[in-house]
Amino acid sequence: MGTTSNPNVEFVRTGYGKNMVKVLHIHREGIHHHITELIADVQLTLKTRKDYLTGDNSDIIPTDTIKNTVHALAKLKGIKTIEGFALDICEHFLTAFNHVTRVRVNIDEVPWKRLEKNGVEHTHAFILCPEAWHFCEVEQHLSMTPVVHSGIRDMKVLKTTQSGFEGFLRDRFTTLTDAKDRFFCTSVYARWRYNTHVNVAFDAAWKTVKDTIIQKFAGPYDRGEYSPSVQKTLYDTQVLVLDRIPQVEEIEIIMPNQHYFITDMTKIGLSNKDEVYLPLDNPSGNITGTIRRKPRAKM
Amino acid sequence: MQAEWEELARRNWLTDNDRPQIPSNVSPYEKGYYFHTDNPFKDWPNAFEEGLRKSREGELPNAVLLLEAAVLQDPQDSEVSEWAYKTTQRFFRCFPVVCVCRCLELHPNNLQALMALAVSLTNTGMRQEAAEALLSWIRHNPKYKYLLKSPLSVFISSPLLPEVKDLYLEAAQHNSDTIDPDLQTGLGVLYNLSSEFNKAVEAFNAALSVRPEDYLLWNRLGATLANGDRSEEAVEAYTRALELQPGFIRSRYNLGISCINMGAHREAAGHFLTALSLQRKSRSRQLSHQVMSGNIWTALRIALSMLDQPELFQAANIGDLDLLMRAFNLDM
Repeated sequence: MGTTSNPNVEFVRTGYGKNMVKVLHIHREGIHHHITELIADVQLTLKTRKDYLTGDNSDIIPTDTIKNTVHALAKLKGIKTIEGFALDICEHFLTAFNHVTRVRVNIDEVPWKRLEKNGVEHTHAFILCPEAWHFCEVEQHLSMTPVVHSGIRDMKVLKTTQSGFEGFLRDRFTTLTDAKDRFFCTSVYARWRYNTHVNVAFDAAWKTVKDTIIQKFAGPYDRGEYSPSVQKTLYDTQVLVLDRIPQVEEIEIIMPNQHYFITDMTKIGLSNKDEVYLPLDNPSGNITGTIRRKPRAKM
Repeated sequence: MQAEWEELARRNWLTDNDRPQIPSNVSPYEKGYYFHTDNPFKDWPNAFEEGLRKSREGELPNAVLLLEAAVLQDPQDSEVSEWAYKTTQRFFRCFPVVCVCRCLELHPNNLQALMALAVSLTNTGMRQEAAEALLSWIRHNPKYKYLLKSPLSVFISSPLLPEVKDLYLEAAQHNSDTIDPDLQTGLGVLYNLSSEFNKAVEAFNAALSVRPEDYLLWNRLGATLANGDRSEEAVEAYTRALELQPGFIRSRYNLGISCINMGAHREAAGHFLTALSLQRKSRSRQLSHQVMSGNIWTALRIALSMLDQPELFQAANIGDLDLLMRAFNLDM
């Protein structure tokens, strides 16, 4: 069954694991219940490649075992934050075995929101509130400190004014006209890296990023805040995040620009005074940017 | 010991910007405080009393672990949670800072630790906490505590920084016949916090006039110069610090940062590698060193990314220090 390695090829990278392991953890403090439900992808890289080369499976930790391990760790360690749990999974695989060289864990947290009415919280009932998804990506190499990324995805927001776009470059293919007053609709994706994995209040940090994105997008509630471009709003948001959370080292934000067009109704005898718009899925603009803290000298 | 103090300062706990009222039945668990996972004291009997005793004795790292253990052993324990709640309400930021401050209330002579804490908080951008620590330094300092008219009033929120700065300036003016290098250090840190780097440089220079062999001060001067965009002078200061203390990893790291700022990326990488190699030789398992190590690797990756040698960048990603040392012809 074995074959010798092919002299014409070399490995670039390998990894295997289990995707979409779903688990819910409940912590009961008397009648007050806390839940965390998540979906985890776990990937391992092993020291040898004999599984790929010769079909020798003796080093492989089956992906079924990986799944069982995720469940077991939920019981043994509990789940307080998805980042903490991802760190626990990495630590387990790197310490329980001596032939695992890298672990990558990506987790999505299911957005359960505790029911609340008039400031009173329900002790045990929740509703799915997918206004924003909390995800994390933790990677750790053997004998290195883990690298933790957290993120927000699919947070869709829309404002109907206080957005414009003018003064852009024109060439012979440009037909776009200046806009002083347009809609701004986007589905925000943000991913940031922490400079430490020790004692970070991950949930509080995530909420701060979410609130900061909304704050910079919407502006003050009575009048909003003008956005001269998606790029500017994106950058301002990033700077504010870095200012507010000292442990965030770098942040990437992607904001598609989902366009709404005024539809011409003159052919059906109506005069559309910018009241009826058509949402256009595609194509959409896509604006990206990543900034990081400049490394500072330490006193 | 200093490293432990600084490690404690690195741990922190964000609060929401609008700081809602915390009901008394909310445990630190719910607040998202990240307890140590492998706490050797987790089943320790009388962890709470032991923790308070250790914090009185100034043995902070173990005190924190014991107090965490006490909270975890019995989250419903009214004495423990009342203490935790009251002290976090008062200091509202950071459980370990809470322990430090509590320890210092009971054992106020540890001014050195308090200053080290302030420096560390400044380095990690915890401006409010740094200002609080510096205020505590005055409050516990027999030479200057008379300056505080009403000690508790200044614990109320926001712009603490200008008031604390005024306090230090007042202290310096009242004692203008001698230079107190520790007071000047505090002033230097405050000017760093307010980004008045040239004034900070003056303060550290004043401190150095009294203690010219203090390698920590030389490093602080260097970092201040660097953060104030005076990179060449910063390099001189770091060089002096390293002459006095060749194994001083932080200065080596800072030297690398300055090299990056001056565009000397290869030289920067060399400094970071030297720092990592020194760390590895010391075989330190201290958490503070692990965290510093993470910083050095991050900075190394930045330097390497500018060198257009992807195999070196990849080696940095997987932590292959030996390969990198060989690539830079450095002794291992």
